[in-house]
Amino acid sequence: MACLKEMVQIMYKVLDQEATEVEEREFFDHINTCSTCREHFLELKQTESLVKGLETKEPSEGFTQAVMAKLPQPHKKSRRPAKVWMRHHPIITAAACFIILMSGYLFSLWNQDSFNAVVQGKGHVQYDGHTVIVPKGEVIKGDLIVKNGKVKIEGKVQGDVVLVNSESLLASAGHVTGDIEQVDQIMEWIWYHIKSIFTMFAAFDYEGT
Amino acid sequence: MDQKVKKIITKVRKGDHQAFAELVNLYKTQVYNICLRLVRIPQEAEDLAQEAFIRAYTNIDKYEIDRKFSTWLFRIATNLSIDYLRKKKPSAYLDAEIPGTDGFTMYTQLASEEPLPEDLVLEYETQEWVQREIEELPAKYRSAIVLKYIQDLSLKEISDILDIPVATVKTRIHRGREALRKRLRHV
Ligand SMILES: [Zn+2]
Repeated sequence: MACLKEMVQIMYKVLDQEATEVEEREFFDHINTCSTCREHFLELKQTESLVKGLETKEPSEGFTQAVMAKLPQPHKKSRRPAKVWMRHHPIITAAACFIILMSGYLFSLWNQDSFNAVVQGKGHVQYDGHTVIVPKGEVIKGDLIVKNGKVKIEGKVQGDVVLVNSESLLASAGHVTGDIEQVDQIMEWIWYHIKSIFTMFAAFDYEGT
Repeated sequence: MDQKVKKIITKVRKGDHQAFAELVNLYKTQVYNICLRLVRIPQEAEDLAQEAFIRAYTNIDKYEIDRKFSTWLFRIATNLSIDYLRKKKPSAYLDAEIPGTDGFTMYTQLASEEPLPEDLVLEYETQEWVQREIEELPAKYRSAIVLKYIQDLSLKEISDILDIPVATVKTRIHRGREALRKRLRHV
């Protein structure tokens, strides 16, 4: 049975419709004379038709409803698209989170209606009740933010002076190199901070280049 | 067809729960038949097919929209069925050789005790018999045979579903077909 191994490979090609015309002719000539290969081929053909002959069965009538009833609830699902969206837009997501947190923070600051003074930068101030004094000869290198109070600038502020519900008792252009900003509304208060954030980003960009 | 399926998937991804029912209706017969031919028992096939759709739904974000959806879905169904068989091993004892009987298994014994009078074999019985013989194939041959002959899929699609090279798919089909031939030749 020297024919077997090689012929079986050609037989598989014939079955899989991958044989060339020459191979096919060679194979059918061969099985005319070789009963072993002929039997083998017919049995494989029969096997194929038996397996292909298996009927397609239908699932139960309630199949679709059963699947739908078992799916995780839609409200759980509805969080998904947001999640996906956030994954695709990380910078917008981060910025939005930042603004939300920042607004909350600023709002809480706004709500403390007590007197408050902050130096964003270097320098010392003095206090007289609810009045902030920048003493003569003192240089504030940065911004001065005063809330619910008064400010008296006798020295210098090399930055902005932000007055939130506050007033300036003495300030001339010579004393403040930056702007004197009066902020009396919460939106302005928030706007001021957002503006300063963007200025900060711009500064980063500038340094980066 | 592909465009229609992609539209439905986009809807499902946007949270349209009900759109998924359309996908189930489109593919339930094929998915059910893959499971049925792999596990044979209708109730189990039904459960597995339902589970395949549920997994497809919960993982719909992982499906790559430019690939064929049916390939992805059939892959889930095939893997579930094969995992199920692995855990269950229903006919393991049938395949175990009886000591001292030289290749004679419980299955061959059971089969020989049930004579099949040729002229009385009804269509239904032939189907049952072929199905049982398919079930006796090792899982890796069985999945290749089911996908090729029952689902009529191309070698490339089978290779994508089973995640094996086309050459391996071919080998499995050839070996599975030979194993079946030996079981099915005496009609
Ligand atoms: Zn021969």
